[in-house]
Amino acid sequence: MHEASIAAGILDAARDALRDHPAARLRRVRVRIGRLAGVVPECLSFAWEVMREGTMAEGAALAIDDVPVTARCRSCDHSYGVEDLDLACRRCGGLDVEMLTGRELTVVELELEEEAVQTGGTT
Amino acid sequence: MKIKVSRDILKANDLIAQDVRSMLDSARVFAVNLLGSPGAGKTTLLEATIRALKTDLRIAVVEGDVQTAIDGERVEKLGVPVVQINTLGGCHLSAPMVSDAIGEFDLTETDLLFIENVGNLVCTATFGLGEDMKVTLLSVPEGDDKVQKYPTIFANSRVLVITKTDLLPHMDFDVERVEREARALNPEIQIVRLSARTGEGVGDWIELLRAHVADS
Repeated sequence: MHEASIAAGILDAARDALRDHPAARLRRVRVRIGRLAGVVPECLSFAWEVMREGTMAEGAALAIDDVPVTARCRSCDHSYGVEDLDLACRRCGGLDVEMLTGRELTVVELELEEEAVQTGGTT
Repeated sequence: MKIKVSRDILKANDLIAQDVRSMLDSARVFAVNLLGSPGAGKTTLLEATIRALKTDLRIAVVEGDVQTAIDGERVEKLGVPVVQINTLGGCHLSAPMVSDAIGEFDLTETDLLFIENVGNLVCTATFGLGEDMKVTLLSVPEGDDKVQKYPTIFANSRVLVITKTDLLPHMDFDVERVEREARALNPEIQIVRLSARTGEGVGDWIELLRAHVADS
């Protein structure tokens, strides 16, 4: 359900970035969503389709990059992927660990289509 | 043309959460975001906590619910200031709602603020409210598979409170499993087991909370 709030946040980011490109049309937004960010990609895609209607993002696609969980052990400096919700160090078993990735909720790229020629028509 | 950016999707929420945090910090208020499913026992634990601490600490409460002021009225009976928020369908509190609500309190007359979130293990995990710590309740009847099923909220919480432990003899709930999985996911999480009904373990929770307030 909160994917609608996430979609609204993506729209805000796109709107701000497009201020410098008033003549452009938004073709695609790319976001990075960590596996522990608490967002379901399918729900976000659906929310995006609903929320973009009637905005400057109408028709724009949403590309979602899934970011796996990775962690680093502070004791032995080992970095590793976490597939099973168990953060313990894969090398020394230590629990003094930090999560490196997996919480991302970030807009990383906007793909624009510049209006090729001003046609002189009114909008 | 592709434009590279790096912008937090929740920027609008997080900026206001930072404002809330600065307001609370400057008034020296310790804020707890209380999370858990509907029926996990958030309001009941809050009532027990207020009874235990209200002579020592000045407490205020923001109550978040989809509808009704049932919880706000329960807490108000204990003689602490309460602001009830109704999200009218919204599945979580967001920082702007909390920012508006705490404007109703005299923060200089407050030591400890509880923000009881909407009952939900999913959406509430993602939205920071400017709190000092998230405390998630998991009640025995909900089942012992919840850390696996809803990892984000347990990964983001400072404290896990396992509630309704008086029901353990009647349920197939493996407490050790929950604690093991929560610690694997979040090695720094603190865990308390309690029953607000019998009072068992409530003292441990109060001690833990006092220690956090004192450290802040």
